[in-house]
Amino acid sequence: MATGLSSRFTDLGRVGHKHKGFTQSGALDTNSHMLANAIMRVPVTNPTIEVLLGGFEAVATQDTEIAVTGARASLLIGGVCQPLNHKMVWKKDATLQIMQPMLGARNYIACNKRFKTRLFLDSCCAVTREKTGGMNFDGKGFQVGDVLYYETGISLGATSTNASIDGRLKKVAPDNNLLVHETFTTMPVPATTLAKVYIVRIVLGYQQALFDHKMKVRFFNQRFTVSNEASNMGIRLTGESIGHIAVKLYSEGIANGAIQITPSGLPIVMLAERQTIGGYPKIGSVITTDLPKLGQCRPGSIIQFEECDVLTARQEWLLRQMQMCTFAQNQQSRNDNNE
Amino acid sequence: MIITNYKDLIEIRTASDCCVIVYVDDTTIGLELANIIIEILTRALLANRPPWLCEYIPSYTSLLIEFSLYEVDHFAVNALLKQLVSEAASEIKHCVGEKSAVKKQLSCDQITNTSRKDQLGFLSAKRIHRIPVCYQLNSLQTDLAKVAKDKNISEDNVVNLHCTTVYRVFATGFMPGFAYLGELPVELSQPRLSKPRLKVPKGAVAIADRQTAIYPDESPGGWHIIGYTPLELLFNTTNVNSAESGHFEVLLKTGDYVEFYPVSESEYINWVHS
Repeated sequence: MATGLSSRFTDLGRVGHKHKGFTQSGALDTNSHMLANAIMRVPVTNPTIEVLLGGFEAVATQDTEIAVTGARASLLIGGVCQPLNHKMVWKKDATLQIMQPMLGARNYIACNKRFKTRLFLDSCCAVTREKTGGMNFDGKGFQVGDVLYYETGISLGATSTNASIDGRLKKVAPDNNLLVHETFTTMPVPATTLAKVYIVRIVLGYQQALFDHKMKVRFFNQRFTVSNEASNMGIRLTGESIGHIAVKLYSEGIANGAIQITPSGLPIVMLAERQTIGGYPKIGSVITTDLPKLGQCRPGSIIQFEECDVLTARQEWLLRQMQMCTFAQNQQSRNDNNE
Repeated sequence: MIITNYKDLIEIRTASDCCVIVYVDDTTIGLELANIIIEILTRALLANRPPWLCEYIPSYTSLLIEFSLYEVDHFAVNALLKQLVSEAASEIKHCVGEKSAVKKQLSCDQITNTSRKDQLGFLSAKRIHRIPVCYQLNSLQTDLAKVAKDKNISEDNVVNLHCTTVYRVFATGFMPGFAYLGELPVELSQPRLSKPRLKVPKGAVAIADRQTAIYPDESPGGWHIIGYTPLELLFNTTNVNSAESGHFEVLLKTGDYVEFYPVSESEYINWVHS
């Protein structure tokens, strides 16, 4: 696993193909993906552009409107700093730049129309490991020079993803950081919480009964650090070993957010592009509401697990969905009033 | 051993806030039977496909079920699954009886060397795939000689043992179209490579532990390669000219049966080029 720098179309992933071995895929931070679409008053299932660790540049070939959500990164249009989580105009010939984020890992770009994408298993997602999906069905993200289109056939912009990190860092003037601000709206924006330490709630499950009290104490009472092996497939954590359970398991279906404990006694959290089955013992799974936090983790981020029961987990999720719905509706009526 | 209540072998556990997993205990009934029970439960679930069902992943002795958090909670899903288990009890009992008859016949055949076709007659109701394998392909890497040496049997014997077993697809996963087939004869069983290969070529037929499998595409892998099949395991069913979604179908599905037969290098090459 390696954290490749990539930008690509994403949505909520594939549904109903896991029994054939096809991974789920989809936005890692589904919350920011949906929020971006909600701000643009388009269905939350619309494709967005997912940008990993900044370095994204594109030129508009026509006037357009966009919103960028997710990681706290400097956002420039035509060299002028723009706010995150906000609808804004992107003038023709202006360059949109997303710099390397200060906090978080992934940004999402939504527009007021619908991006023209190619669907594979009813999703626009590219899966590099499977070599499936994406614009050319080869599992690859955007390449420098690609032209993105709206469904209507009008082009939006040509992308240039800077390959070198040095080049990107030079472009971020220190002053720009200060200009990054949250939205001015009075209503609460259901944005993904960004932090240095993420509190991630899990429900115990799978082989949890095999983990004794001491192991669970060690699991819940330490802060794990995200290692360099963090990708769309999963995140390997480092910390103090919680111990090893010597049990041979048959491979079994892996839920989104499932936490595998490797023989070294350390957790791997399985994410959107995980393999469909696996044979490591699992202590439980991250609750759906907290999965977007993991999409914003990057090497060095710190994670503290907390236990949660299934009913609370469902309540939390329904509440979050309701907040998103309310926000989208408010956004709708606010825009209607303005027009 | 007589098991009066199959329900006792089945356990439903939480997997995540939107997934439950059904386990079948295979310690008394064996892996194949456990996997058949999983297949029956999967079929029962799909027969009255509940609207909340998002995903299902059958595997060796488990069935993972993902449900929509909008529609239901754990209680509702557990209740339906318990009902399915009770309803499937008679079918499970029936299949188990039939299965042991097939098993008996299979072991008889192996002793008397009755033709393979007769053997398969018992399984005719199932999907059986006969898959050609070239065990002597010089152009691609193989561990055949090493396997023979490690297991202290001749290469021909390895091929023979591999070809004279009818395998069941216990699970699919790892990569699209990859099927875990079992069980491999004990005589061929050995642990995975200590150092996985970074590139296993497409079509490689490989063995590890009590399992065998075919790599549908180039991939990293830690199994011992003993041959290559010219057969495609993944079908691109996408209409290139249409704007519709791309689709792939897989050849091997959980619950199918597979049998390998040897082909020569020239047959293999002809097949690949045809």
